[in-house]
Amino acid sequence: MLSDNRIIELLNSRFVPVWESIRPVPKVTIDFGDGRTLKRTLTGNTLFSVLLPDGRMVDAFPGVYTPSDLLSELQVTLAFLDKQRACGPMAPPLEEVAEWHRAQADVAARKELMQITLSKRFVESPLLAALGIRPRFPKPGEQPGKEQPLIEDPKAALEQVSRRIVDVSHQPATAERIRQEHARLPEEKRPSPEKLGQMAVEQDSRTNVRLLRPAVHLFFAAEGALPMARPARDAIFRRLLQVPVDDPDFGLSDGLPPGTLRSTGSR
Amino acid sequence: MRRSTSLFTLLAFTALAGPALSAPSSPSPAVKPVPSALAADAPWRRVQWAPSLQAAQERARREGKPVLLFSLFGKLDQEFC
Repeated sequence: MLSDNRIIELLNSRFVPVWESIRPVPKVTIDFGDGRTLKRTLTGNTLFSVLLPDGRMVDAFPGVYTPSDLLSELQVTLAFLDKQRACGPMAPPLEEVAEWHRAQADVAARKELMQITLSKRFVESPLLAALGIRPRFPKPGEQPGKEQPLIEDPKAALEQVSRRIVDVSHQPATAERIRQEHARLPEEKRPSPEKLGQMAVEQDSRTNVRLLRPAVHLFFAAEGALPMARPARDAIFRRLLQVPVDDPDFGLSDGLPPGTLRSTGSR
Repeated sequence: MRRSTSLFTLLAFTALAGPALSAPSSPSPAVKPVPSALAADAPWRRVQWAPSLQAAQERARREGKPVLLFSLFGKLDQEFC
């Protein structure tokens, strides 16, 4: 994301960018026992968040996105903040932010509905499945009435979407799923590690735009106040990214199978 | 959401896929390849990062802009995920 010129230009011209390290990166070393070792980063994730100058968070972009997806998501948020600024001070009132987020979640659900309605093949929508919304096809001759909001109770909707996110987070990593999908192909037709990585980012970005971003909108719509950056960040990591940021062991030592070596590190 | 393709994992795919698997018995290359995201001329270094959140907030107040905070595990200029 940060290697794209359009993103760099947007960050420099429209924001004051800053980065922070939440904690050191957890690493794992696999010793194959034959002299070879494999080192990898173990878990984690990233979060872009938009803050007002007083440190309150107004929007967040958890996980990974393609530059195009991140760009269009950021521009929607900027358009909202620009509109607010035109009416007065930079800090928009809480009710306006909450209503904007609820409306954005609604827009996301409608987009999913539209996609299902127009598609000639079956399109799965984790968001609609989580919210229990089924497409309704108009009867012949039926005039479109006034559109009712699809999401009326953001708190309840957030609970439903969060449960769906937990289910998705238990699936194998995207790159591994793509690799398995291509495993039957002859070797020369299988994607290279670079291509596999790119495909995984594209797929994760789609999932994040279609499920995680609406969840973020519901999170803010359900908040009683604009949250400060740190607690909001931790809540988003825990609840939406399923990363237990405040557990020093990242939840990895919750259950130890028989024979597992216990941690020797100091707590 | 699944902790699948973090930025560094992607980097690992593209730059470290081979070298990360080390075989001490074989001769090691004289120069370790530098992952492009960590290189001195990496594109993210052109972002005008504020030195701290507090400094970012002060600048945001002066310039009338929102802050964009990037939170990560590890360090942007070292290794992160």
